[in-house]
Amino acid sequence: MSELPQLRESLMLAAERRTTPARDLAADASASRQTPRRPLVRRPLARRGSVALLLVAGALALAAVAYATTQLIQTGSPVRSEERFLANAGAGVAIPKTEGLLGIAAPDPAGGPPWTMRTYETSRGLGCVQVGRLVGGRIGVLGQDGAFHDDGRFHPLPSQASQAEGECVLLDARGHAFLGVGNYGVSASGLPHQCHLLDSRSARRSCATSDPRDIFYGLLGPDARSITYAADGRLHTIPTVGRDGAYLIVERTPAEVVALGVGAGGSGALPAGGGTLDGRPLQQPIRRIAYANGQTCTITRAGDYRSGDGRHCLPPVGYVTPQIRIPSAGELASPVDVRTIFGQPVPGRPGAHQVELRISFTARVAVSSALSDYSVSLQPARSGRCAAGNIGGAGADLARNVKAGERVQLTLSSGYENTKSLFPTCPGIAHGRVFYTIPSSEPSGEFFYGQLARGRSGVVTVGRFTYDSP
Amino acid sequence: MTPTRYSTLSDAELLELTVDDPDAFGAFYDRFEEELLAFFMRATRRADLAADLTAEVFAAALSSARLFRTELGSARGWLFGIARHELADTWQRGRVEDRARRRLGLEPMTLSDEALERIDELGACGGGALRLLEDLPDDQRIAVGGRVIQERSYDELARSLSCSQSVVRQRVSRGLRSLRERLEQTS
Repeated sequence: MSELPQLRESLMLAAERRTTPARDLAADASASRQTPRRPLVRRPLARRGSVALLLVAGALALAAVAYATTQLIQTGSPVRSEERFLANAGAGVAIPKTEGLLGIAAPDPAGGPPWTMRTYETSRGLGCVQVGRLVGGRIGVLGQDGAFHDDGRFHPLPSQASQAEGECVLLDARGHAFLGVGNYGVSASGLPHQCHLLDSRSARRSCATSDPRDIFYGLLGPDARSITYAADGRLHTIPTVGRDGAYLIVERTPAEVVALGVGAGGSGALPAGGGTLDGRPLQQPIRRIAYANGQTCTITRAGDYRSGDGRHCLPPVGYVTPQIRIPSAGELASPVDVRTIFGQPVPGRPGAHQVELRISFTARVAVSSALSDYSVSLQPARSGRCAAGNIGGAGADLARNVKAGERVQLTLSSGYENTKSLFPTCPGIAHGRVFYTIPSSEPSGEFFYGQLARGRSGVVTVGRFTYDSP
Repeated sequence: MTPTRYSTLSDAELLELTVDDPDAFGAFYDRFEEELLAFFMRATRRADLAADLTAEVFAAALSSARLFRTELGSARGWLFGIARHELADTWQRGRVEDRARRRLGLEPMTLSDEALERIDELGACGGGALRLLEDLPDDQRIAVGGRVIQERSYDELARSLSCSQSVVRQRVSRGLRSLRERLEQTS
């Protein structure tokens, strides 16, 4: 029996929700099967373990590839997103006029349509990257390896359909995104997020045992000129593409890895090897970045950086730190009201109730992008179980835009049911703080919008409050 | 798939199936819930925090199950890697993050007294050394706790404690020596 049945149930529901969009896809795929389909034409498999990479800049090459593939593949229903996006919250929504395919057509190691990249900006100031297969001048997904019931069609990938926070980063002062991503074991269909949109266990198995790809891509900035990568036992140097210094490498996932399982990845402001899992670094192929000013950045297989002159490679050459004015405490100061609400129902727990703390204040300074936010934190009294101090508070972030002068409310919920206190095991005066924050320069994690490379970060107190925890 | 069938699957296989089989994640959860709670209980000595951290780690694990890759280590190691990261993050920020849970739309968790007591018991194993840890001077207790229990790196500890790595190493070394001596005395 679970010690935390409520958590288990919530997780199961969340897991269920994550598979639901896949069923929608199944319906789409079923409907589209009414039309006779043509099989994908695939070239003979390339040598296992080989790397296929080509960065083809220029519309001519793209057009030629697009023409060739269009002749063979029919179009199916677009890929649907499993997430809901709001223009003024979270990552925001894609701005159509900023969307564009990059002039990249990286051949697939097994043949078929090449791989390409699309970039776009969001309404909350993030730059995002998508990777997929290129057909008819569009980016999308192929109905193979279990995706879309293997219908053999091309399914266009709308902006944001694949958006994960790890693929969106805050833009620098000149509007450039700096990003390096390493995704391992990606389905060759191009379906984002390693098959998790698939609609059945058998499809998932099919995906996992198919012929997946390791994909390395990113934007190295306007000053990046070339990358050198290791493949087939030697080094290759190729130019970066476009105003953002894009690169895309597609490798076949080694057979021994496919047999074990697929799926890992990581991102950062420079080419990422996926960070570490269980303390072991993921390997990545890029060894060097060369910039227009002659500087270089050497990267190890594990993704450690060292520039040519011995300095650290961060911030990347060409990165211009956004001039962020951090408001003063005086500009932000606002009285903070706290209301304790008893007897709030606990979702999914009939009859149970909990305490909520509703903290409201006036946002004197507007938030118009993901570059800043308002948060609240509450530290319990150093008593009872909290006597050792250090950790254990409660907190919440607003994560949406607000207007200057807007009255804002953040809610803290008790982690305990049927009590009259937010911290029943730590009675006494808890000290709370509402603060305005801009992102820190910490390396990006999966749930953050990338880093401000060595940029300024700041936390300014808006107001303080206390809560007497019975 | 029946529970019996799940029991024949490896941890890694359960994670792989999680993508489109919620019950597989349930089985994965059941395998590690107690161990994770005990891990956090030993690290924080607070049942409510242990539960909160456990929830966040499982939410992160569900979100990134697709990122798991077997050849890089065991599923257990992967899960506890997330746990260590979460603990270090919590230590640094002063509160348990709920990003992963919010991203999944998980309802806030509440705890009954009974649940808290059970979690307390889970962390009781190995409590002797932990109790002795309490008796160490603050600087050594924090350094040993950070390095040994939370498995944070020296670099990370040095940054969070605003001192050099060599100072942290010295504190850990002295703290462990004291612990050994006290354990020998008590035994």
